[in-house]
Amino acid sequence: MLAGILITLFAVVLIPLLVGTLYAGCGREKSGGFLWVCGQITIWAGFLVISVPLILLRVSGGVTWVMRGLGGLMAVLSVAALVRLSVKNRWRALVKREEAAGERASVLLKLLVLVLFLIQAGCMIFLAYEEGDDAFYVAVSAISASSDTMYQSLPYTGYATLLDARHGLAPFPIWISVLSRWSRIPVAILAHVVLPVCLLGMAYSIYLELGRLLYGGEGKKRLTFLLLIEVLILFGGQSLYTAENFLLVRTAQGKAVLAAIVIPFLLVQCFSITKKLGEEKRIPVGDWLLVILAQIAGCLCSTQGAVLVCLFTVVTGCCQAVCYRKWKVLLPTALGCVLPAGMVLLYLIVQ
Amino acid sequence: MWQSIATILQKYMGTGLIFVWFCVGLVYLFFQEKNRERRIIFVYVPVILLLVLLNPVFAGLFFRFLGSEIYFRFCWLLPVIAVIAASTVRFASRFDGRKHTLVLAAAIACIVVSGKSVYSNPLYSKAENLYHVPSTVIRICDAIHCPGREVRAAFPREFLLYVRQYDPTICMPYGREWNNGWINEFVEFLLQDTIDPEKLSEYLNQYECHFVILEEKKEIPGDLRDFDLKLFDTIDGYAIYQNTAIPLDY
Repeated sequence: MLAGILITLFAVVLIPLLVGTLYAGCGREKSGGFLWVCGQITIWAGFLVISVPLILLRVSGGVTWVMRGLGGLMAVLSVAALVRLSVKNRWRALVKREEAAGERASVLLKLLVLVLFLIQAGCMIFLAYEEGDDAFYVAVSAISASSDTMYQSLPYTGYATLLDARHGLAPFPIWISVLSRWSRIPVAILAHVVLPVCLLGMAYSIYLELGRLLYGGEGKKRLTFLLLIEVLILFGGQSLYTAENFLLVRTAQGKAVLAAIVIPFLLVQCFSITKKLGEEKRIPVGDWLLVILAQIAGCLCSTQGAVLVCLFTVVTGCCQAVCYRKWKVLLPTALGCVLPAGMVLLYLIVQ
Repeated sequence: MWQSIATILQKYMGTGLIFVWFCVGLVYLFFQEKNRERRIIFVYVPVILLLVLLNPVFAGLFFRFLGSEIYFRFCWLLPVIAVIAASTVRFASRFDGRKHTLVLAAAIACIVVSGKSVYSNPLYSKAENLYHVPSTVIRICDAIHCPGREVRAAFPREFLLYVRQYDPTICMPYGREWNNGWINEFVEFLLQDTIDPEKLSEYLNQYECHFVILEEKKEIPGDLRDFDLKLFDTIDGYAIYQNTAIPLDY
């Protein structure tokens, strides 16, 4: 089990962090936590491109092929990142510290933020939730991991079925089955314990980055912002449908990743781009690339994700263009919508 | 259409108080935030998204192609918690020292009162194991698991969610869809206190089930062998019966 956890951490934390360093130095410096999320978003986008054709073609041994493809992609990106880190000596990007510009956060505030995070992570490990949709999504992952097929049997019963387009075009559960096969950790443990803690860390890394963008080096404001976010997430159970509830309850389901990781990530990236537009700075290709990759990752999480991410980037892009009279931003915005629009079209065709 | 959108929004908002704080935050930032990029991301974009979300033409199109059940997910585009947190930090920064701490404490108290702890949900329970699957399900699945092949077993409704999460080689004649109002006469039959073995055998053969798991307290009159049934094992108050009419090679 310990070896399995180490392999999972290697695949979900270390490699994405390494891949994320490819974006270090793209304009504004990003924190190590955010680079980790950038790397994971890149890997998820690649995963969608690799897995969907194999699902549609109903290739035999599909999961094995996806594993090979994903493994190859991760290896290539990691090597590229290592070469870049060595050549440009950017190892420091991983441990970047913001220069203090305002009042520093007190030890009590830091402790509060840490304790609230640990409470949530602890609850993910020690509390079980009777989640109906897990009977579908976790079962899909478990079937794929054990049978090496994708979306060819009904998750509830095991009877053979035709392609379920709505779920087959958003194959997030297959990513879990790939991790399960690599780590040999049973899918149920991976989906209920190991991945939720990692994904929770990713979600908070995004909000930490948003705090950095909002308050720069003002440590106290940054951590106060994060503390409020933690409380809002912890007390987001006023309805079963909030993104906060999805984050804590259905963490390893694609739609929860969409709501709590991909959409906030887009918010941060769009905010970063808006800031640069305001400062009349050149926007690095890497920043636009991350927006496009996040849109593709949104398609991996949920079929509706394609519509959601497009709507968000189009509205933000139009606001940026109008407010700054910079119509050029509409081009990458439109470019980012091509693949999600294609996925929607594909869904309508194969449905 | 308005009615449908209002119902969906209401479902998303729950008590609605957090959403009220979000709207208050939007208004506050609109009047107080002078920084243009912050206004774009935390005021203009959420307001436009809200208008799109409430637009009956957009909703009508969405309902037509994807249905109304998942329309609530558009609310995820609204940066509700980011707006509340950013406006609170901005408001609190107007005060110094003790007053600042008091304002923040009051804001946190407001959030706690307006929201609801996710962990107060009665569906939460202490995890029995790392799988987050009831241990009884694990024991039953391990008992009937047949290496190298799939088996089909009819489980009681309380286990339907978990069986295939734990062991996908155990198939079922019906699944979780039964909890959503789906009618299946086999399931209805298994809910009876006294089980007719002849009928049970018929159902098991019809659905090609190797096993059926019943609460031990359920009565099955007659000699089970006459109906190709045998008691395979009993685990945690559940009896596992094997249908010998469908061969299973261990």
